[in-house]
Amino acid sequence: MDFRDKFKQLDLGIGTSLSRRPIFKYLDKETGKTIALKRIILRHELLQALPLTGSSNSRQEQPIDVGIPANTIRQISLYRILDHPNIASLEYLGNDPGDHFVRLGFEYVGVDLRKFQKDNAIRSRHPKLIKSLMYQLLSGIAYYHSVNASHGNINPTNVLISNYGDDNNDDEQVNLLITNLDLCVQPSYQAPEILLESNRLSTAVDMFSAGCIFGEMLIGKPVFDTENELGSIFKLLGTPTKQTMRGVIDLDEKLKKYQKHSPKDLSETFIGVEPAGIDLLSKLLCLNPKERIMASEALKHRYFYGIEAKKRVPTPAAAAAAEVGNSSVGPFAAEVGSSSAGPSAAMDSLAAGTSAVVGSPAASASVLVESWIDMVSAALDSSEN
Amino acid sequence: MDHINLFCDEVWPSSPTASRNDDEDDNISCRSRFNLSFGTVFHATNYLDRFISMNQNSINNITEWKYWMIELLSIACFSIASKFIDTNPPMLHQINQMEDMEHSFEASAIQRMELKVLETLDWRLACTTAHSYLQLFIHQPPLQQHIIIIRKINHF
Repeated sequence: MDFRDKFKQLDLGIGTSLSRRPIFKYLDKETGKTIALKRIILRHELLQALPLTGSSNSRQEQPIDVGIPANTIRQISLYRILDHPNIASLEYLGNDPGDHFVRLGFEYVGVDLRKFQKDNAIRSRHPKLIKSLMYQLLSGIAYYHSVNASHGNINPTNVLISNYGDDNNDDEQVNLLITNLDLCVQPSYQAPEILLESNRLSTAVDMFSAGCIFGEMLIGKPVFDTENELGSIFKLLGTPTKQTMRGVIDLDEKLKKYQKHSPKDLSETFIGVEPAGIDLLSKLLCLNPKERIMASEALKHRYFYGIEAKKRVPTPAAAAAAEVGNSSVGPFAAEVGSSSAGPSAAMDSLAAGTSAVVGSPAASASVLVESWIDMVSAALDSSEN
Repeated sequence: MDHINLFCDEVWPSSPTASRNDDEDDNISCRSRFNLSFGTVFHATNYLDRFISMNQNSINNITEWKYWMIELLSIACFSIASKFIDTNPPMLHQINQMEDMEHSFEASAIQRMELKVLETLDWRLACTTAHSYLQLFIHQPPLQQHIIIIRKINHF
């Protein structure tokens, strides 16, 4: 079904994407669900016209003539298998008729974290609520990591809060969803090793971002500066030395332009936070990615004592076990022979796919293609009747 | 388990009569040329099998397909698999310039075919193949003496 027939655009955009296009919410006319649409561009001439900012850095090295970008293939096949209560599910997947881009529709409920904090200034600072939200956030991240993937772009616009409101005062009921829209966000929530352009990235980058979000929830404003991100990180956490960031990156060159700072006591910046919270924060905001706490460990941190029993969020270990039980041996599991597209749909797509074929002698090939398409459409007609 | 049987028969160069075997040979020669992992071949075959099996119920089945259709399809499957698994996938024109191909296709055609394959497979690419088990078995010392044929390809 055509995209425009299936969805209705809702009036307000939710932000600007990295490619400077507004991102809108859409309403599914059949199911009544709201989705946020993300576009992944397939054509290279379009790709190169994009400004290279933020997480789209990798596009720079994308050579022409590779067909569908490898990143796209990996990303979408990952979204396809993600299934966790704290991760927004992929509700819609389709491409435009000209095959210029793929549309991804992610479930969108509630508001993003930044708007939630702005609209509910007092409530969002409630310690119990913060604890509940952090637990859900880390569960989602731990799930990502349990399938050997990393999110890479955790920031407040990618964190959705729902099921809150005046009539719902139970902090435990507030829901958190991690989505993945490429929205512009200031400051960046990226880990120092990304900002230092290290080539050894790991799942630890998500944990630093989670730490930034945790800090932001505690003090009600972003922890680090918009302008000088790396500088403000070092101001709070101390400038890394060869000892504290061993093996991550060759620091001497890159650190020249930053002032030397020694680490600050986090409890001076985050006043009135319980000691366990400060401890968790310091472990999340650890400069060295190798020593940074892992998501599954963070969930067992004493800060979360007492919350686990109430929340019926499946632990990532259980989710991973279910995954293994299904079919997994490889890096992340997926069903071998999913058959959601019927045979006629497949045939249809094959016809469309080969309509652009050019065989060795061009003329005879186009005749071949035409005849094949005729054949296929005949088959389609008879199967419909 | 069907898949495992298929691979045992066909991954190792057997009778090159059926077109599917030809693809497999293509895929294998591709592999050694571009120095890709064996997992790529297995995944490519998996995509090919799934794509064909989803089409076989329709009235004009694959027996009527022309050789170039299969060739284009196998290039697309191979290209997807190498991009999904390998760190340094070959470019489309490199795949296209293999001397044992009968046809050459435009990059845009291959890209469209890739997209159709991905759509048909519902973008579910991380699949369990025989290769996933092979890796497991090969590193089990008690089993190794029984696996003679596998040694030939044991440079994982």
